[in-house]
Amino acid sequence: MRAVEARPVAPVQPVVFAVPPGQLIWRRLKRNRSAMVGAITVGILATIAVFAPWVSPYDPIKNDLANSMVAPGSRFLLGTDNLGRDILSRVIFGSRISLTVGLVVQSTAVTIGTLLGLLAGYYRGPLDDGVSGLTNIMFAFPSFLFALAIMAVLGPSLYNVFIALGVVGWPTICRLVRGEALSLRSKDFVEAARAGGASDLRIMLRHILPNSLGPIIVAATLGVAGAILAEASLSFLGLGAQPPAPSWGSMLSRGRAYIWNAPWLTFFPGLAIFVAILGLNLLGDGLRDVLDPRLRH
Amino acid sequence: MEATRARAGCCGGIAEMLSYVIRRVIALLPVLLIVATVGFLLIHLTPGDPAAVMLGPDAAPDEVERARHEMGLDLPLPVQFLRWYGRVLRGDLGYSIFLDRPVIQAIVERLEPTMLLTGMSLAIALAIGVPTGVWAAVRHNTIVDQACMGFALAGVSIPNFWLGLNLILLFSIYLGLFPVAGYTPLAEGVLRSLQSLVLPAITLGSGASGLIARITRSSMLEVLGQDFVRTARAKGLRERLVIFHHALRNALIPTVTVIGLAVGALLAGAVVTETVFALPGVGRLVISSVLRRDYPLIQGALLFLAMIYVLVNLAVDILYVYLDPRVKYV
Repeated sequence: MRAVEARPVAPVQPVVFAVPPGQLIWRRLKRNRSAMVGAITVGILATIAVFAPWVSPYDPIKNDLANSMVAPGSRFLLGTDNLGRDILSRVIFGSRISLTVGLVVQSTAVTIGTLLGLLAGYYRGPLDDGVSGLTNIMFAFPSFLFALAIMAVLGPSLYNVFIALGVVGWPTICRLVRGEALSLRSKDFVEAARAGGASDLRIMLRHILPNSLGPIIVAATLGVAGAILAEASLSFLGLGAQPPAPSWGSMLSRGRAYIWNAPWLTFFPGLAIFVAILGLNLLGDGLRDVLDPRLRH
Repeated sequence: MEATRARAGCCGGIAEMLSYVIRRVIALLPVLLIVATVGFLLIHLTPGDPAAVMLGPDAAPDEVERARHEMGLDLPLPVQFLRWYGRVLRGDLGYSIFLDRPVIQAIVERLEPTMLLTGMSLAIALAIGVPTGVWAAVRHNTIVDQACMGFALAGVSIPNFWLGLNLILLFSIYLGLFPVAGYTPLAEGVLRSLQSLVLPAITLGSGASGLIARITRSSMLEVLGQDFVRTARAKGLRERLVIFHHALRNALIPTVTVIGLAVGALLAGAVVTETVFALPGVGRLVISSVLRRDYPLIQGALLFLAMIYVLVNLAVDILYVYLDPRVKYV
């Protein structure tokens, strides 16, 4: 009798993409004109923020009372403020504050939101009830007002802005990831992984998370814009960055008193906020078109 | 016959509708309970002694002690908690030592400009947002579409305090068309009152109008692609009738849901807008109480605004079910 030859199990064929998915997304993104405008704007802003000490013509903090309230011109391109500080230099350094706030706040929000959302959507049951309950409480308040209340408790400072905006930011991501996890957990490829003996942790991190990455990236990009606007608003209200820090929001707040005779004090910092948020929103919308085919229009 | 049946489905269920509303109102109670709890915890999460923080470093120890007593902070925590609930249920939101009056009175006194401002902003947002969205959808993928969506994106992206300052600069300082800042109460003339709110309302409404334009456009595009619209066109109806009578009515349903969200953003944005235009509303009250650390007032105002937000969203949900007969009363 011939020994039954163990039939070789057909090796699992890896899915072969004609083009790697990353490149495919990049190609589609390149064709999306508004996304590219957004990406370039954000890229320029980030470059300015990184190289701020080299590109800014003057010291953003040091007073120069001999040159106070100089109108925009050849020496001070965007003019100077009441303490003689160069507006352009302050706007340049302000990009550091804004982008740091945006990135730190959204990293916090994405980390907490993704973690809780994955656990809630994957395990369901009481854990999900708890997490969903918590997010629903957070959604009962308009989020900016909630951040305001947290700032009232913690006291005004840029550091506390990080905390307040992080606390109000995570539920959006959490709800999103929970929904994704909930729908993905019963898909065939997840069942297959489970049948193959993958642990819960592995399923969550290797199968569910990568497949919900698109919506997370979109929400995080738009979230950075939201965080920057919220920081600017809090600083405008006197609750965020404290003087002499060159935060765009607090520049506007201080410049308000001089709007009659020196409108450049408020115009340029505000323009910077507008451009930053517009760029991030364009990029976020473009990413949505590319990454989330369900929402095409 | 189809039409009669649909009508019966929509309006025959007044009792059904009523029971839905009652159930939703009951479901609101736990939310309000939680909102009240968060309001309570707010004071107790403050690092250090809230009374001492509130009165500042110069306060004498006996003043702090008196404030602690007035705020009930010298009682055991569970007692404070129960007292807080009891008071909230009676509509008593505490006493502001700084303003020397009950919190609820302080809020009510400031309510008129905030409500008018929010209402006007929403009206402006709808008046601009809906037509823009419809126009963009009808001219899908043309220059009109792109222009409308660019306009909407700018509305969503522009910081409203900056827009406000620019409007003041342009219309009040250079052109002298509107008052620079301040509010004329309704009692001193409706027209003048509304005039003092025109610039603030445009400022506050810009973000919501962008949001509404974008939602309206995408839902309009979806509806325009559906069979019943093709049928309407095929039977030779004029395009105007197809768009406004058939498509728009269906496309507005998602717009209605976004109103609830927009009101939340408007209430929050009112804080900033009232500061820019020096309007004596609830928003400015919130900011000054935050800067002074007037905890009872912060607590009360947060609770009050959250309640309005929750109630508006309830109203929107009910309206939604009423407008869309396909949605069951669950």
